[in-house]
Amino acid sequence: MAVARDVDESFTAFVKETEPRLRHALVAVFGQDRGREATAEALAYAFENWDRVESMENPAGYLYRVGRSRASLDRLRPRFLPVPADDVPNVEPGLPDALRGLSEKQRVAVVMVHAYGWSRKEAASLMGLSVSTVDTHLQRGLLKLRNVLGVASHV
Amino acid sequence: MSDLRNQLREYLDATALPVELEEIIIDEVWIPAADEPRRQRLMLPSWAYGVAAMVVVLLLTFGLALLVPGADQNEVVDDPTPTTTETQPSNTTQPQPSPDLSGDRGTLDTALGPIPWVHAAGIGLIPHRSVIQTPSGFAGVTDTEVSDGRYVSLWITSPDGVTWAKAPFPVPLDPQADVLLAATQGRFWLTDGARLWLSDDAEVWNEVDLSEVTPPSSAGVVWIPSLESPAVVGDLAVFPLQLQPDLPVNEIFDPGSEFTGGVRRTNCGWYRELEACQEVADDVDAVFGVDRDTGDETLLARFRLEAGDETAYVVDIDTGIRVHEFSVAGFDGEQLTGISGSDLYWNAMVLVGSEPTATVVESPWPSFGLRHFFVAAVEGRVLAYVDRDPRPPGITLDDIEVWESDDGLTWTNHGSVDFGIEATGEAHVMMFQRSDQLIAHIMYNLQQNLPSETSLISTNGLTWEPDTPDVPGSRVERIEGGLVSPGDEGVFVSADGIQWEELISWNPSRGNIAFIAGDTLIVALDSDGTFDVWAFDLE
Repeated sequence: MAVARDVDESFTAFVKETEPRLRHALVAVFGQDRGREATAEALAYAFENWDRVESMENPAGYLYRVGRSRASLDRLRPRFLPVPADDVPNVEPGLPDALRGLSEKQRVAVVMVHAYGWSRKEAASLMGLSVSTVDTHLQRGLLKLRNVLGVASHV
Repeated sequence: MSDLRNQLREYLDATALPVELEEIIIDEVWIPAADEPRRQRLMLPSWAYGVAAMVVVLLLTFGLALLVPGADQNEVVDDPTPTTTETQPSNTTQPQPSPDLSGDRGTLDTALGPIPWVHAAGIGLIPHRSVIQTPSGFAGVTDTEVSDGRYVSLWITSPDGVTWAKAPFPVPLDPQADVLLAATQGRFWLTDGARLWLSDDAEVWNEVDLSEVTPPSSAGVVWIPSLESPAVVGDLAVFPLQLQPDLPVNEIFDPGSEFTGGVRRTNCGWYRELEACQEVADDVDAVFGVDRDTGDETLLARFRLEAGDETAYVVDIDTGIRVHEFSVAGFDGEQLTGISGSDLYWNAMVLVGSEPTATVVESPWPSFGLRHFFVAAVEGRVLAYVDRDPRPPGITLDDIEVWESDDGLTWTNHGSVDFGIEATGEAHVMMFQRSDQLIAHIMYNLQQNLPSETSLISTNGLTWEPDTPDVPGSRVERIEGGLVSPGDEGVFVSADGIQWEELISWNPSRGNIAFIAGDTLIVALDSDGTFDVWAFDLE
């Protein structure tokens, strides 16, 4: 039982540590509902294969790829919920479409860093990219969002 | 930039899917039996039931029948891990579009007159990014993930707007860049962000020599063309230049400067609802770090700035750990002049994404010294909207000027844009172009608790009127003899902008796409990885 409890504690600690970043990234990939489902799939996979996942150098990055590939969602375009205008009147209604128009890496970089506040390093680790590459996706994604939303004339 | 970031946060926060209490109370399903394998013998702490149960619940929402009906509460499922062969949930089934559009081709009688259409099912390749109507059919850009996880752009063509085939790009662009394709004023343009090509027929493309219109770089700065939204009129393409600093880090701030403070981040996961983990947001007055085990512990720290080659680091003085790093490659040297270490840290995110100093291209180039810009092609001329000498804390509507040119060489200043709004103080304007219309979303009187907001529309770029109300879709496109309004639930057409008629409707929960390319409306309905595609001839 002690072993089981150790496994339990290590897994649950891992979930608390990893789940937010993983979910934020997968929400960026798939949208709110599919992203949450993909996160659940990835963590279910981690639970099943905890011995192997625990020993990985970058288990969060691995589960990010698991979530993207196992969710049977990867063939679908991302689906972002409409802007609830009554709740967030300052948000441009075209934002979901604009997010959908970004490449996946641009979207993940922008959403993780600018919406959820993760550092570039944390985003890069999860995405399996260098910080400079994330910077490139981030800047291109922002530029495209600004152009699509007209924020280029941010005056 | 900060406004865009706030919009992202507000939107994702408002649309985050909460964990409902009733979803949590199925924990005993996950409680393992003692004689089960290891993963089923786990005795999770009380809070973790919620996490584990959440996994099960979410899998169930996938439509995966993991739990045996009538099973004992303590009985566990054999394999809670879903496979990729499972079917999609029934509530996302794509219904047949209405009105009846089955078959290969047909004609709809609408307020715009008869609209012929063609249709094909099982289409795997569609233009996700952009599409144009060419003399020989259609061309578009889509992207695909290659084997190593990279995305590349593809050039695809179609004779009818329905069936598509890959083809080599007609120009030597970088397919790994963000390739943009558009039609403006009867011309086509194609860019990978570094080079620009124009064409009359989408077959013969001529590259625009950017070297003739790019000012020479001077010490500390380089000019980078921003080709993602050029305004193209005939042979004239106007686009902003970004001024990118090329400064060593140690010239833009003082390495070794120290400060105390930090920023709180939202680190709560789906257990937030279980443990009432407090939601936090970036706040310069907050302290750095939220303990990820408790979700609410706060720490104070002292930081020091260190310079790398092109990267600045924020280092925790007590631990020596680099807690934050950021590239300074995109910093605006002007903005960084005289900035302190702590200011750089607090403003790092803003500065990285800040609006670049820009200018309107011409030869010889003028020295507008603009911070913000928007260029558009309207009625055969180019209009540039700029803010005039912005002063902190923000600019007013009176500060926005419009310049006009029909040759890119001479520019006429029309003075302040007349939006017809009585506004005082700071305002925020977002502008973009739909077909031949300019749209301006304006928030004004920002100093008030409830600032005013309006949306205006212009066809000549100089006079503005309220945007079309009560549009059934999310946007309006002008076509010959009428209007088209694609939205989340379908596409509507109107001859007068008042009476709207449904052309096609669909399940709003799927990844459907509607493009207007020339005189053709292309609709692709997501059908579990392939698409049902219709091309409506609106001419």
